[in-house]
Parts: sequence; C-alpha cells; structure tokens
Amino acid sequence: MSQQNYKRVLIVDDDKVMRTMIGMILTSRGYIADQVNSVSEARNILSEERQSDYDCVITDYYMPGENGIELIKWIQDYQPTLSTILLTSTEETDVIKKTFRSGAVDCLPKPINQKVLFKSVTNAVEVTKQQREAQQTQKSLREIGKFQNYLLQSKPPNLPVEVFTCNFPQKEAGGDSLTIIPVNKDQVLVVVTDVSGHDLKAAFVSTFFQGLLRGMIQRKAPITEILRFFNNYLLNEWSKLHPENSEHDVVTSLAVCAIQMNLKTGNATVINSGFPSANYTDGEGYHERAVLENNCPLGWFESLESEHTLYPIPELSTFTLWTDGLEDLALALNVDRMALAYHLFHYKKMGNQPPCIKKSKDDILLVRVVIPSDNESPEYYPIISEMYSGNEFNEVDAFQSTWENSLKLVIEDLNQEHLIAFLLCAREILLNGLNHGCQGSEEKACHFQIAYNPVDEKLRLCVRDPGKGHRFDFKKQFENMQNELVDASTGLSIVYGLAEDLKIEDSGSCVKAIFSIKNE
Amino acid sequence: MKHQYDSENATLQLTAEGDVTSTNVDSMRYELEDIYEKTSTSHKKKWSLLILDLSKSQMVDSAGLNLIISIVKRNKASGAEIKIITSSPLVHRVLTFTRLSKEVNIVLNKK
Repeated sequence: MSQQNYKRVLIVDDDKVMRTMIGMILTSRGYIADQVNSVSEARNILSEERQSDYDCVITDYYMPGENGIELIKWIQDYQPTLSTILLTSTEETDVIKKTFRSGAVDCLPKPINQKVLFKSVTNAVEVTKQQREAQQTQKSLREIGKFQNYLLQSKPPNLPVEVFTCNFPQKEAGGDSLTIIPVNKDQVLVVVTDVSGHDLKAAFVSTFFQGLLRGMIQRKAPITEILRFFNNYLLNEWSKLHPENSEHDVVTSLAVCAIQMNLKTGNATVINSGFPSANYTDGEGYHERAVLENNCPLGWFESLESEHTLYPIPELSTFTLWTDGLEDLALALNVDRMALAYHLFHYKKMGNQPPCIKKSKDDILLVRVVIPSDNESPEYYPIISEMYSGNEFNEVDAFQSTWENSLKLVIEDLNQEHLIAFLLCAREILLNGLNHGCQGSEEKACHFQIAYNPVDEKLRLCVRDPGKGHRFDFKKQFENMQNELVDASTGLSIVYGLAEDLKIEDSGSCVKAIFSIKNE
Repeated sequence: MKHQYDSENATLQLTAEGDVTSTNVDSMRYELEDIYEKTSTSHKKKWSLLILDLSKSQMVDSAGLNLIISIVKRNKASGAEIKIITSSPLVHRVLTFTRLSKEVNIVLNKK
C-alpha cells in the first residue's frame, strides 16, 4: 500500500500544461502526483514500481503513439485492482463506451472542473482500496484452501484401515473436513464434518473443531462428549460473537459423522449429528444406509441426540460418507447417490475431473473407509440402493429412469441390449417384492440393490422384502410358458430366462439375480 | 395403441407406440376393446390377419406379455392369423420364452 496518509496518483498526458495543472490540483488536496508524457513511459513506471505504489492513474485519451484506452486495457491485465480515469475532449459516445468497457472507473471531459476531478479521484482511490482488499482476502482464502486440501489428503501412517477421499470445493476454502485419528494399533476414529456456509467463517469453525477434536481425543474424551461440548460452544459462545444476529438465529451449524472402528472386536460405531446417512457395505458388497431420525447438526438446539449404530466390520467392509452436496448433485442428475459416489471415485482414480461436477452447486466431500484384506479386493460395489414402499408400484417407470441414468454413469460403455434386459428384470423383481412381499402397503418397503463387478463385468440385483416369502417354482412356470399359451406369466419366470443366475432366499422374501454385461 | 384396418386384405394392424409394461397395459386393454368394437361394427367382414407391430417397443415385461398372449388367444379363437413384428432382440427373446413362437409368426426386423 502507499504511504499511509498519502495517496499516489500517476498522471499521463502529452500536454505538459494540462498534466501540471492536474498535478497541482491533486497536490493541493494532499495527493502525491507523478507525471509522465506517454503511454509507454507510464507502462515502464508501472512495471518498475511495486504493484501497490499507485492508487489511481489519470490518462488523457489522445496522445501520440498509443492512446489512453490502450493504457487502461494494459492496466486491467497487469494490475486489475488499480483504478483508472480517462480524460477526453471528445464528445464521441464511442470513446466513452470504450472507456468503460476497458475497465476505467470514470471518464472526465476537458476542460477539467476541479471539484469533479477531486470527486472522481477520491472515488477511484477508494475503488482501488476495496479491490486490493478483496484480492488480499481471495489470496488468504486460497492459502486456507490449500491447507484444508492438504489436511483432507493427508493420512496418518500405519493406519489399520484404508481411507480414500474426493474433494470438490466450490470456493477456495470451506467448512468440509476429514479428521483421522488412530487411537491405537486396532482402533481408529474417522470424523467428517460439513459447516454451513462456504466462507472464511466456515473454514475457521471447521479448523477450530478439528483442533479441539484432536486435543480432546488425546485427553481420552468420548466423541459424544466432544460433540456436546462443541454444540454448547456454537450456541453459547460463537453466537455471541455475532451480535448482529438475533438470539434465535442459527449463526453457524456443523453436521458431523464419526466412525469409531475397533478391528480387535470387529465392530464399528457410527455417530451422526445432522450429517447425511452413513453408507455401510458388508464384505460382499451389500449396502445398508443408517437411517437418520431426529438428529440435527451441532449449533441448532441445546439438547443433542446423536445417532449411534453398531456394525460388524469384516474384511472389505466399507463405510462411505458424503456431504449433502453429493445428495443435491445426485438429485439434479437423477442418479442414485451410490452410483455418483462410485463415478467420482473412479474419475479420481483416473486422475480426471468428472464432467458432471460442473452441475454441482455445493462443496462435495466424499470419504470411503475400507477394512483391508491381505489378498482380496472387493468383488461387487453397490451402485444403487433404495427403499421403495409397497404402494409405489405405479412409480416404477420413474425408478427405472433413475436406474438407467445411474448404470450409464457408472458403466459408460454399457451395451443397450444388456441395459434394457437388466432394467426389465429389475422392474420384475421389484414389482414382485412390492406386490407380494409388501402387499402394496405404504407401511412396508423393499430394499432394492444393484451392485457392479467391474472385473468380471457383472451386475447383481438383490431385492429384499419384509414378507414371509412364498413358494414359487419359477423354473416349472418357465417350462409351462414354453409348453402352453398361459396368459399369467410371472415376472420371475422372465428373469429366469434372462439372468445368468437367479436365486431365491429366505423362503422367497429375498430375490438375487446375476447378469453378465460382457460384450460378446 | 394405434390401429389401421385394411378392408381389402381383411387385415387389422395394431401398433404399440412404446414399451408394453405394467404401467400401461391396463390403458392398452381398454383401447383394444374400443378398437375391436369399432372395427367390428364399421366393417362387416372380420379381419383374417392381425398384425401386432411392436417395432417401437424396447421392453415387454410380464404384464405386457400377458396382454399380448390374451390378444393372440382371442384372435386365434376367432380364426384370425397373427403376425408379431419386433425390432428388439430382447422383445423377441421374451416372446420366444413362451409358446407364442409356435403359435404365431414372430418377425424380428433389426433396425
């Protein structure tokens, strides 16, 4: 910045009388006014000086060689925060339009009116100040963002679990965070947060929480106590730092999901406060979503009820967590959240930016925690997992559309015939579950899952309903269909004819089918 | 479902305008009743050939298959010959799971 009490202006005019007069006016008002007689000289002096030595440039339009607009355009490229004023004796509207298009703050007619000049320079100097402050804030945000990104990517050594992350921030810094704390050689704590807002305030709260978390965990504080402590802090201390908000306003909230894994006991506890439901996948790729009920982020209410769920963690079991930005993007793309998570991880592995991320309007942080296996990698990855109520059978076309988009997102070269055959079977199996297992009741729901095996190029469909099951011999029915013209074919018989394998488990309340999608 | 009657050749053509699945078979069944009734009353001669054109259908599910079989049974009972046209190998495959392929002429016209 210029010397604290003096603002410095550069006057560019080939007319010595004019530039001397402007210099005298400005000097009399407390400015330091330097003078040059051409654009090239101005360019030299601005290139040599420190970027912030001048607070404003006043330039004449008509000068031998290059004109004032060319100088303004150069300044816009070289020092975009430096304000410029153009002086012109012309009344041509074209010049005035060009002046503003080139980025000038003002255009003053000659002869110069002292009051008008002073007002214009005062304004231009203020604009420069504001633009430099904004640039500085942006720079600080970028620095914080770099640090946050480093924290998201860095993992402590010798972790008993594998952790993968994908981060797609909307701004340089934000409130999404991941903290991995190895408690001992068998236990690890993974905490993912999402602070409301995408600004410095969100970044500060996020970083503060991470520091507090690490410190309190070292002091052996239980995670639930830490969450309660931070909830009180947000409500009773942080909110007081913002007197502009009313007593009942939520200033900042923090959604958090913590997974405490104990490999010795083979169990994990999921604790959730306002974060999107955690996604658990067992060692065989079957998915379960920890349903979120009556819990809310830290910073909303005095009483805090965090959700606790216990899961077994065999080898290759996985927890996938994402911030609500992923849920919004999945909705916008009409795809399943698991399919989008798979797609984002796949692109990250390939080192590419997924094209669909351009449609995202919120930060996305995606974290996958895998219990490693010495010699195996997962066979099936869940890509669709939804609960459908028994009375939703008329919505099957809409469901099918989401499945189709999800499959196309995950398997970009999926053959159309394989796709349609698979969708047909998915419909049949789901309708079977909704009609027979749920008996069309709104109170009952089917768990519908599709998993993908990228190595063997197979899709696995699994629909589990809450019914008692029923005996149905789809093989016999299939034979009957071939022998008689029966007009009561069942969906499962068609699936039997199209799938590579069809199994019925739990007395018929669980139907599983495998499909090969390998191109012949 | 679109329909066209060729009185010279006594041929009724029914064309499905998309997939034949659980979500539209009920409305198709009503449309069909209407078509049968109108065609029978406006033309003295009953059709001797029914062409079921499924060229625009990518998918026929079990509910759709049941509808097609009931169309076939009804028209066979009245002595009509039946021809089904499809452009989808999947629809062709589903139709040939059943005895339909032995009862009617199923033509696969790949696009």
